[in-house]
Formats: sequence, C-alpha cells, structure tokens
Amino acid sequence: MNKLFFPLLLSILFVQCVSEVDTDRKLPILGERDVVNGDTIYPTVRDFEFMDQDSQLINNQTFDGKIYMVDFFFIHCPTICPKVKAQAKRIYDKYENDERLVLLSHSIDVGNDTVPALKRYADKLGIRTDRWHLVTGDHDAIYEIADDYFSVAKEDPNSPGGFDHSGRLILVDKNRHVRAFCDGTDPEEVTRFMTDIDVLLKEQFPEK
Amino acid sequence: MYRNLSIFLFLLLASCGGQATLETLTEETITIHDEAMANLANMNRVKRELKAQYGDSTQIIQDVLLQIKKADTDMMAWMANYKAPEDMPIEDAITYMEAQKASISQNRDDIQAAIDAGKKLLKNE
Repeated sequence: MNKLFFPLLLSILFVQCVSEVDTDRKLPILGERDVVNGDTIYPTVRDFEFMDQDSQLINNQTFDGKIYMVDFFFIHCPTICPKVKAQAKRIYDKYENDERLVLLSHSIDVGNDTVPALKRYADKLGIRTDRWHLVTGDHDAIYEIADDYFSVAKEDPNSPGGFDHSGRLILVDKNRHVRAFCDGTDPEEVTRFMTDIDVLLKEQFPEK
Repeated sequence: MYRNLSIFLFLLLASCGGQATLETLTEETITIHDEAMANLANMNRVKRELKAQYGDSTQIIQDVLLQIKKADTDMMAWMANYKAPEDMPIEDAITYMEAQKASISQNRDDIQAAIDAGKKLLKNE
C-alpha cells in the first residue's frame, strides 16, 4: 500500500496544480490592435441583426452581459457541419444551465435554411432557443460578419481571412472581443476549447 | 462446381472493384466540394466590393452579380440534393456519384469564373 500511496498522492497534486494553472491563465484578445491617442483599440464584433428559429430578432443586445460561442453552418452540409454540430452539442450540453454562455449559429444558406427549417433542425437537435440561437438573415450581412470573425480567428495572422468551410468555433467575450477559437471537427480541440470557455467565464464573472 | 466457384469469385472481385471505384469517386467529389466551398467566401467578398463600388448601376455589373448569385445558389442546391448513395446497387451508386462529381466540378468552375469576372471589373475601376 505504501508503494502506491506516494505515486497516487503525487499524481493528485500534479493534476490539481495543472488545473489551477489552467484556470488562472488569461485568454488573449485576438486580432490586430490599433493604438489611438495612447489607447489600445481591439477589434470588436460589428452591430448585427438576424432572426432565430423562433422568429425572434437577435442582435448584439441579446448577448449583453454574456459570453457567446459563434459558428457558421448550413443544414444540408454533406461534410463538415454534422461533425461540428455534434461537437457544438457537447458544449451546449455542458453549459445548458449556465446562463452566462449562449450559442449562436449562423446559417450561410439563407435560401434553404428558412426560419421553419431552422426550427425543425433545432427540434431535431433538442435545444432550447434561449440557450442556442440558430439564425438567418441578409445574405451579405452574414458573409460580412463571417469575414469579421474569421479574419481574427485564424492560426496564421498573415493568411487572408474569410469563411473557409473550416468548421471553426469562436468564443466572444462580454465586450465583443474574440478570445479563442478551435477546429469544431476535432473532439480533442473542442475539449480544450471548453477549458478556454471556463477560463473566460472565470475572468468575466469573478466570484465575489 | 468449379464453374460456380469461378462465377462467385468473379462477382466478388467485380464487387470489390466497384466499391473501390465508388469510394474514390466519393472522395474526389467531396474534395472538389470543399475546394469550391472554400472559394465561396472569396466570391461573396468580390460581390460585396462590386456592390459597394458600383451598386448595380450598369448592365455589366448586374450580369456579374447575377453570375455570382447563380454560382452561390447552385452550390446550396447541390448540397441540399446530395445524398451519399448508401442504399443503391453499386453500379447505380457509381453512376450517381459520377453525375454528382460532374455537377460539383461545374459549380467549382462557375465560382472561379464569377470571381475572375468580378475582379476584372474591380481592376477596371
């Protein structure tokens, strides 16, 4: 028993130590920053207005005081989207009762993914509208905001931005700043991304 | 008996060969689709630039905007209609995938052509 006790104790201490370090870290604000009159200006998510699966108007104010996860999808997607949606559902399941985080999925197929189609899709996923908004809207407005998000959420800062069918999941903070992203097709990356969500929750909603 | 065995082996090999052809076709089709999808954002960026600079002021701008819209709509229609041919007999599945590959290849080329046409107009500013 003595032989097992110390390795076990060390393992527990190590895991404890790693998880403490992990949640104490701070996520960077992503994107190119400007300095204006000595103030650092970070890129922010532009104003938007879309409609969700319950025909509710969704805009920036919907996410006031919350952090949110963003992605782009289309219902009839033969390759990436089903994988990404399965991973996004993991995030939904974990945070379903945590009102500090909301999910926002934009359809880029505005012709086929109408409000009733989004509603059917939401029902199939078994999600609550107030926790996960599936939205549609003006075609150009959706592509424009996708360009905004993806120009920030990229591995190589010198590569051209844009929606690239990558299945990326993006994390936005209460101040409309992009703070993290991951490849939504990769379960391990999504697990890491959920740690990022915990880090951001801790930073933006400090315990009093 | 040997004759029956030979027929059985022949059919088995033919079936395996068909399956490999189908898998290759499917892989190629999805690769072409992913390439085209990656280019869709570029095409829509060109569209926004054209609209920002010219609106739909001239016939030639309207034509290119229409070309872009058609390529975009065709991609969405392809995705809405595409179904992996899981329950089809192998020969039908191959025929179906050949048609899908041709269709998505055409769409990929249309997207690139629309981008080129739009960029040409933007250069002539």
